[in-house]
Amino acid sequence: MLTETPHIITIGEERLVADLHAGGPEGVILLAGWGGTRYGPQRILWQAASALAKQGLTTLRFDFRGRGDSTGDATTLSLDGMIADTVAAATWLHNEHGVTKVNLVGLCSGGNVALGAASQIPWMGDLVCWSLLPLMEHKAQATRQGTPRAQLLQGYLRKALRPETWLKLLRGEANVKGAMQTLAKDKEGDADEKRRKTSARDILADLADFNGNLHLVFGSADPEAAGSQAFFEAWRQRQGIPGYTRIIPGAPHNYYTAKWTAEVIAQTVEWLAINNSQDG
Amino acid sequence: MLYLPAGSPRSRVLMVPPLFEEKRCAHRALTTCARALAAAGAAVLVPDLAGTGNSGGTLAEIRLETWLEDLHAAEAFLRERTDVPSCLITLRAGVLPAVQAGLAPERFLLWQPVLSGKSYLRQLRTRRMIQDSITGEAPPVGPFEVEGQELSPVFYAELEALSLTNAPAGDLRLLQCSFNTNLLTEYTRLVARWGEEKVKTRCIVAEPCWNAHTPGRYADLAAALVEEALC
Repeated sequence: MLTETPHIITIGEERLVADLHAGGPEGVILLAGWGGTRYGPQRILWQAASALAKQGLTTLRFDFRGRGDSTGDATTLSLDGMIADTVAAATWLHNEHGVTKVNLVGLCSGGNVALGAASQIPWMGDLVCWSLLPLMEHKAQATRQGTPRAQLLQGYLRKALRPETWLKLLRGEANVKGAMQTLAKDKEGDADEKRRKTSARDILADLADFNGNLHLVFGSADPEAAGSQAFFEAWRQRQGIPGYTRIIPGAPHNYYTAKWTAEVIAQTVEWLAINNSQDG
Repeated sequence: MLYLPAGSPRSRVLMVPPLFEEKRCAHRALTTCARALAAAGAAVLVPDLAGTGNSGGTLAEIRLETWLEDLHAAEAFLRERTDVPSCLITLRAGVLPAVQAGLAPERFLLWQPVLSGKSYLRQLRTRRMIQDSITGEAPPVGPFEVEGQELSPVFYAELEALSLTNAPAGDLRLLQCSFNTNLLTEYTRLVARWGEEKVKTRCIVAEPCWNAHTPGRYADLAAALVEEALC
């Protein structure tokens, strides 16, 4: 059972609000995406913490600076700031709660944060990245490796030609904006946001000595999944980093049904808790 | 979360968040507003009802009664700490359990209230299905699932049955955030039904924070909320 206590983790002038479940010496930090809160969409991070706690792990969920209940300016958050927050949280877990191995689970940009933090945490375990996005500097390359936009466009056009779609459009019920945003693929915001999403470090180069597993989960309906999967699988292979990839059929970026959410969490538990305990 | 002013509170504010994904999207806006209210002298409590946000439990395990008990417990928690004039702020569908709980604040600020549980739940489920039919194949969604969370059939029916029909007691304020300052038709009708003398309305131009993908600063919004809640 998940029994969490609220805590404040201090980093510089900022106070990060966190929820800790004190379990065994192995811990998991669950990382939200760019705009997210520490419970995540459909509470996926809370649910994952609950499932991992049942396996005896210590779990920590926290709000990044400028997000959720933490202090900080919401409009100046950066990838490097999120990484620093994560390293501070891992250090706090180690120093205050005796956690000797910390795993990171990140959703969307939280996966990028996990990659960035992994090389900065001495007691690092495994990484599980859900809907991992390519780092900003690799976006163009990943897009070339992924589903061609023409193919996506073709799919949308096919739907657009269906009579029922036109009926919905006439009733004003269709989410045209959402479809257009998906096609435009500019979910990264304006120039300032893109700059803040770019690390000053070479995150992948810094992972040269990483000796944990890197597990990936993607939804097959996530427009960015194919490119990101191809990019990171190739990189993982070149680096000799072990790990698995799981594709959830039909799922979009946030796995927003109860069934998809449960699948993502069950897979994560299997990788982090069940397999590790069998290894041990 | 509890936010306290530097000195003695001049008011206590219970702020009830929206439900489902609107709660997550509005989280930062509520935090910012709660801090602004505390800076203006209020003791502010923003509870996560059972099965929502960072609280324990799941929506499959609870019933409406659980939320009503949570709301009374939150109000009692605040009152025990400071027995000063009270204000209840509800955002979006947060108003529905709050009204059902029968809390009796001196002032009640209804922030972009959802008027009917039934139409709201239908809207949330339909929106997803339409989105899926345009951008992908429709996924398997349980009959009592709302935005990725399973509800028990009983709880789903209880939420469906909630509506904002009769005017709650207290000094009523209605705050609308929209892309213009025209009061929405549904609110115009509500005010006409309740009586114009009974509820004061204010429309501000602001993006709907309950749909925000990325949080903003919300300074203007917080200032408006402080005015309506405390002045």
